[in-house]
Amino acid sequence: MTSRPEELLPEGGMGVEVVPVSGELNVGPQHPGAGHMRILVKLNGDIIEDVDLDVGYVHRSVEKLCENRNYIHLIPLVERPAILDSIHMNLGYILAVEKILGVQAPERAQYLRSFSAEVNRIASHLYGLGILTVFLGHSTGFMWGFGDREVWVEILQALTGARVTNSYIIPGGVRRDLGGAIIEMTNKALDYTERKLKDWKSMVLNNPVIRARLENVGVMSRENAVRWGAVGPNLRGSGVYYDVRKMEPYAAYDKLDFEIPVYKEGDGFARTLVRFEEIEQSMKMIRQILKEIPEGPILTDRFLNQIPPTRRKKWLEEQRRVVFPGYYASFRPPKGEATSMVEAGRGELLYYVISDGSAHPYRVRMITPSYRLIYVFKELVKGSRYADLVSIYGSLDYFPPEADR
Amino acid sequence: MDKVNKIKEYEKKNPFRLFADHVSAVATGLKYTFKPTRITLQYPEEALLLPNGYRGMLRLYKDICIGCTLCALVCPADAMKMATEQGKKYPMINYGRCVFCGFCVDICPVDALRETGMHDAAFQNRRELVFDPDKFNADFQQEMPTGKTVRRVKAIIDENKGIKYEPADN
Repeated sequence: MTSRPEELLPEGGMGVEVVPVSGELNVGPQHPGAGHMRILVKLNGDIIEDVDLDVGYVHRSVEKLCENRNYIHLIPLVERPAILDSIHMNLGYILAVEKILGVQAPERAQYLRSFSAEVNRIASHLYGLGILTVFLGHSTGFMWGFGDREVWVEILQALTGARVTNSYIIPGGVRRDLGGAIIEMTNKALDYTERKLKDWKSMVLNNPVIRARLENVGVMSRENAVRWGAVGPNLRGSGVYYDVRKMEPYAAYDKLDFEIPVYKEGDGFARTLVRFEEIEQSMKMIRQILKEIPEGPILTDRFLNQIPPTRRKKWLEEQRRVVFPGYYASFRPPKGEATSMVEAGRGELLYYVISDGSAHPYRVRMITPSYRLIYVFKELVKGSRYADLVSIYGSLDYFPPEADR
Repeated sequence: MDKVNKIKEYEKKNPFRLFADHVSAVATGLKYTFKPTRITLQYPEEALLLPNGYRGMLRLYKDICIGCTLCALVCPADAMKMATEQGKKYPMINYGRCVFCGFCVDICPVDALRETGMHDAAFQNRRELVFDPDKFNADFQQEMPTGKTVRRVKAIIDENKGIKYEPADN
């Protein structure tokens, strides 16, 4: 035996034979870009032949838990799957419950719902952009995304009393009213974000490094987007004009003037641009809401009249918030079923609630936007290069807890 | 159709502008090197003063409480339970389960539960997380290093810097 490798290896170790390698790689599940999901990648060279998505790592059986709790108990629970998009998760559920109860929120509450939803959408999209940029190795975008998001989270905190788990929307209205201090904060935040978005453009969107990683990567044609069931910004990035806020307006969206950004290309950059322009549209909507919001109650009369008058007056005048009538603790809605759709940060969110007349819902089905993206992601990465896996993953803005529920 | 006209196409990358775009990205980066918008909070030397109405730790006003059990009924996490003391019912809370939704504060018909505006808390063990009605009947206080080491600041939105911290008054 010799200890000299040169004598053992052919050509002194220099002639390494390169053979086409096919094999499997594990990505995740503990967040090396994968989120809480294991991606089994079947590779041929560095071309991805197939991926197997091992979803369910953060499954919390929200739908089953919903069957054993009172309706009001579910508000904090349904927020949990998408913690950074909690207003939308909350809103969709409440819209379905309101349909069963047969109540309608007053006008001011509708505007406040739109307001909080749009603030939440900006925060959610900035989070998505931050995650996308750090996937591409652009740490500045990551820091900016999370830093600029903080401004909007601060507004939600002032309005609702919590940073992310807002539990703000209740059957028949909202819990707290908009005050002068929050309007002032929002105006400052709008000015700040408007200025910052210009820097975002030169730093991220027009940065040739970012564009090289996103353009013509993960191209989803219009037909494929429809066939695979893509939703939200990913669908609109493929040239399909579909947004629940326009198609079936809820809250105050039928009174607001806004545009839906749609891009034809269907690649990662188009999806990023759609998200970016939605932030601008959301800011436009927030300005309109602040200007047009009508005066009035923030809870429907049916529930407002159940609160003792002295107590109702005291809280409304002192802190601009409504308190709950005792009815909420364990109400029994009539038998029936309802479906509601909202446009959450990542796309269409559907709730289907069945009531059997008891205090617990018989069934709550939630179809979250990320759940639809699982199949899109699986099909979309086939044939792309291994290095583009994270780029496609980031540009889809897939959020595993939301998909696993 | 109107809808089709709304579908946009983005401007394709111009190879002649590559260098200019790189320079513009670097210039933006340099701008923030010299004028940083840092929002780091030097916790625990600086601690946030939470805004009015923040849903933090709760307290009970035992003399007002009528023992109606609504707070225990509305609690989504089963954190609040009723305890009987000399034939009268009072709520007790387990902060290990509490999700800070504030439903109990909102539903209390006599306002016997209030938010205290505190959220920084540390406990030695899980038993300490359970507050019986007597312990619950006081403002949430924990021994905090006081004096010069801890500065209370509040977050303010600024149109130039995003978030800015200003010293709070107390």
